[in-house]
Amino acid sequence: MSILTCEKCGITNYLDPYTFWDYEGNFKCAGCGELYYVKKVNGQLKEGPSEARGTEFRQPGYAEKREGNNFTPMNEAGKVSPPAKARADFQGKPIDMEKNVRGNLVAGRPLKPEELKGGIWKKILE
Amino acid sequence: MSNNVDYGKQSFEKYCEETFGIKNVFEKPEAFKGYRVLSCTQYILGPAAASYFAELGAEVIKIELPKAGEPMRHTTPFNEPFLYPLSRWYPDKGTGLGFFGANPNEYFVGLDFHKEEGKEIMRALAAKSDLMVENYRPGTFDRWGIGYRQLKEVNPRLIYLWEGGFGGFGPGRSRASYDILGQSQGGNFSITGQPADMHGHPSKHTIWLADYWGGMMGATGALAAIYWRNNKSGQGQMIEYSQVHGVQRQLEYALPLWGKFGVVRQRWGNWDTELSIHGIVMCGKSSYPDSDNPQEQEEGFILISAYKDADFARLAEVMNRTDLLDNYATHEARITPEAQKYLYAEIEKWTADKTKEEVAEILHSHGINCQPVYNSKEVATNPHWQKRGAITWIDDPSFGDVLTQGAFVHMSDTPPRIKWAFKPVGADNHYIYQKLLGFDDGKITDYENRGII
Repeated sequence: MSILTCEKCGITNYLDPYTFWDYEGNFKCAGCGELYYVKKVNGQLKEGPSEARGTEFRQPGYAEKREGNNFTPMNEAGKVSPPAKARADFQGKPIDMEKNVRGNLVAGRPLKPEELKGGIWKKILE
Repeated sequence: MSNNVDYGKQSFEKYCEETFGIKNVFEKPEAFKGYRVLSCTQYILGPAAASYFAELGAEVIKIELPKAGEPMRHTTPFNEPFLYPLSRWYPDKGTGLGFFGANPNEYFVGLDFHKEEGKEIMRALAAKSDLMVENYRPGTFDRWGIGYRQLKEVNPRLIYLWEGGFGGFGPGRSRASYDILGQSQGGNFSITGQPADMHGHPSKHTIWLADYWGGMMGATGALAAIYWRNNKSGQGQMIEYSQVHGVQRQLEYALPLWGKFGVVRQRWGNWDTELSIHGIVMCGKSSYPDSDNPQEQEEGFILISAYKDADFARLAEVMNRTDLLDNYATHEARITPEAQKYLYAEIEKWTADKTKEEVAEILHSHGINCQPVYNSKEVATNPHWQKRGAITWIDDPSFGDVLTQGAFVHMSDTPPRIKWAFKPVGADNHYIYQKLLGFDDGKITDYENRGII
């Protein structure tokens, strides 16, 4: 990982290891939007940050503003690269369902005590 | 003995289908019917070991923390899919899909080992069991008074399988282990992934390989102990399996290589250090360009195995690159790192305008061994594996219509089978405690209310 501080706004930009593992091009400061050129090979910073080359860029994975010993995250949408998602419709919380991928009954949603017979959903027993 | 035995007109395929086909499995006897196994296990390592006996017909009793169950029930991909209820005490909570694959066919009871009444129940169950499996930290059950040294006093025939992380003795024994930790210390990760000079770094396995492998290794030890008890000694014994030790068994030549030459084995990515061509190649076109799954959108991959000289010659011909034979006609010439880097790049130029299926069709038609890299949907819907019962939809009595792995092996006379995926925590409290210990309903309710079972 490379930690690069913007000369203009002082924001610390973290170039996460995976996006920038082998990368030659610009990154965009999460604070002021300034573009900087970097060259990274095998996870190591080989060149830069220096004057931008072209207009294409990647965003840092994380950024923060330092004021004394206080660190404020700068992670609002559009400023840093979005986190990886498992799927386009990823929810990250329990997904309720009663039908499986082939349309048959499956106990895939939270139940109420009155919906149980013993420890099993009544619909399964029907 | 004659080699010309007349088996009639039945082909080997027909013989296998009739012998191992899943249609007749439930009509055949089970190898371990009548054996009882206690599975005081969590996550995958210990549960997997016990579950193989359940597939083979043993009465495996999974013992969990009352009402909430073991930790693996609370792990699921990105916290999204669950099956309900977790238990009849928590109908609004579910069991995560991480629990699949290591607990089929088992009976589920609650038992709190921390309470003295719970320990008494544990000792009473052990007195009526053949095998006990646990995978807690070293000496935990011994400290609680329910380890092998104590339980063999109530049942000398008990076989006790402890599946630990680092073993019961030695300076590194006392830490907790997980699959990922075991594979890391065992040396597996250091040789997995792309080599450093190709901009790679060590990679973990996606699956919990050390756990499933360790479960099978431990079960193998338990089988030997059962044989010894039944045929030689009449006595049980303790088995100590170390997860890290098991990983070290996977290192192939890495250890003798260092021992003989002082060479530290390196990663070699999707290629092979011993065979060339024998690796994974990127194809230039996606098989699912319209998928909303980025992983499916990307270019496909295919394994190509053409390491024999004749196979490689055919591959070069198919690629219209017989010039490659000028320098790489022999395996000796192809196996060098420089040759592999060159040859795989040349093959990927040929696959650049094809999908993995198109490459497979061409190579198969020329007798070259290959296999597209399947995703889990392609595996789940593969008709070959469905017909063989390796992938199977089951009408699970607790959770409905679920897709799961089939039994781990086919056997002609005593085939293992999948009866149910798993059950809610404590689902069999009444069945097991009444049958084995004679508890009446009132006693079971009292113990449940007090959190003992």
